[in-house]
Amino acid sequence: MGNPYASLSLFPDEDESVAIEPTFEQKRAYFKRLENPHAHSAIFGDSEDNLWQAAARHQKNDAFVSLEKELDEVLNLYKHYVARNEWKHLMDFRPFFLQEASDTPEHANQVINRLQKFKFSLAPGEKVEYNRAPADRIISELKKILG
Amino acid sequence: MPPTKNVSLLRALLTKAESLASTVSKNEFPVLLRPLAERRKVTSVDFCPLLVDAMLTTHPEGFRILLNSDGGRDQELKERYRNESKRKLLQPRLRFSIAHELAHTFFYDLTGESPKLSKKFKSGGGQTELENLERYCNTIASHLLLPTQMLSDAFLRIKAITPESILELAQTTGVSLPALLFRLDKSDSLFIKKYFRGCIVLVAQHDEELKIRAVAKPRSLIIARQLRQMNSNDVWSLKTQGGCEINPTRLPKSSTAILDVILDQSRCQKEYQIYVAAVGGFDAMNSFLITFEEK
Repeated sequence: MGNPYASLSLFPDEDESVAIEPTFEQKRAYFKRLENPHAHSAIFGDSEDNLWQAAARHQKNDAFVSLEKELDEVLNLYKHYVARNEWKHLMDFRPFFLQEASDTPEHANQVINRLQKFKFSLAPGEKVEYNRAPADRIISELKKILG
Repeated sequence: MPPTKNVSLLRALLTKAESLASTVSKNEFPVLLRPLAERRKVTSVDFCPLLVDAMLTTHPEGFRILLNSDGGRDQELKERYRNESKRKLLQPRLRFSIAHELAHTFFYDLTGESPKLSKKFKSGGGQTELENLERYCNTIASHLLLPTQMLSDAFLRIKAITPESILELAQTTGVSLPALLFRLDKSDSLFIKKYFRGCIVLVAQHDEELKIRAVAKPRSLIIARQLRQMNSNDVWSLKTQGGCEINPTRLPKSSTAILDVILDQSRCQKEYQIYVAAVGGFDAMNSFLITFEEK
């Protein structure tokens, strides 16, 4: 019968028998590039330390990016409310907050969940009365979020 | 704008705030917040977790107040605000926060479609513009909750100034003890009318330390030197004329002490009646309300 859709194929049909099986080393190199120690260990029965480190680095980076995004979203919500000359003070606290919150991915996720609770929504045409809050008030609440 | 202009603006806003509070409350304590808010075009008061105590928003129909629910149940607090009555008042701290936000609405012109900011305080008197705004909004809030004439009538009706009678006044008016004492401290004329030669002090105990949380005393009447020197946030340190320490935690409910009174550069001793009552925590281990009055 052959392949009834062969005429629709963009590439010439490859004979399975001629497909090149990757070598053990190629497979190993491929899984190494994936930086997934769980998969590496499942297939090859071992995993290198640097794979675990890379995975942890990835996880931490992902958590850090999400945390940074969440913090900036929350701070932007409060931006108009913070006194104009106090905003810099709050921004100076930002790196400290991110550093403290991202010590472990678990802590970062915990902080993200806590930050989400401080978001509020405004109706169309509604504006926050601006330039009032001192940065210290918000900083002390952010410190509480760090736990 | 020099500070004197800030004072004139504050005076004008206080008159407006007091007039509104007296009208909506029909000159009876407590001043309920919902009718007051409605008159200031506040269409909604919502509770949610916030990084600040409270926020005010403007929208085409007026204002919305957002309050920090601080771990409380948002919907339940909203219902309590909606149904606030003389018998079921909101917590004094929340009432003051709402009154503070209402104070901010007095800076807006409400005659147009949307509220428009039309007045503002300037820096002056060693304070920034923001510090002046927040400080004066606290003053306006205390006058909204305790309009002068109503407070004067209630204060003059008190037969004897004791911790119990002051506590009762705070409960009737729906304000915290510190808020009541701060307001009384700025109302010299009340003490003069009452001819109260003494002072009312709220002391908070934190571990071993005793701190003055709030104090109300007459400015124009002669009172003992030791009482005259008491200020909010000072560490409690009161000694009798003979050098004996007076410790509120060990005072009986009623006692007397001899204190120094300085009159025309001469010093004399007067006996003061002291009453003390434990009044709960106020963010401290214990708090004590103490009244001193010359016998």
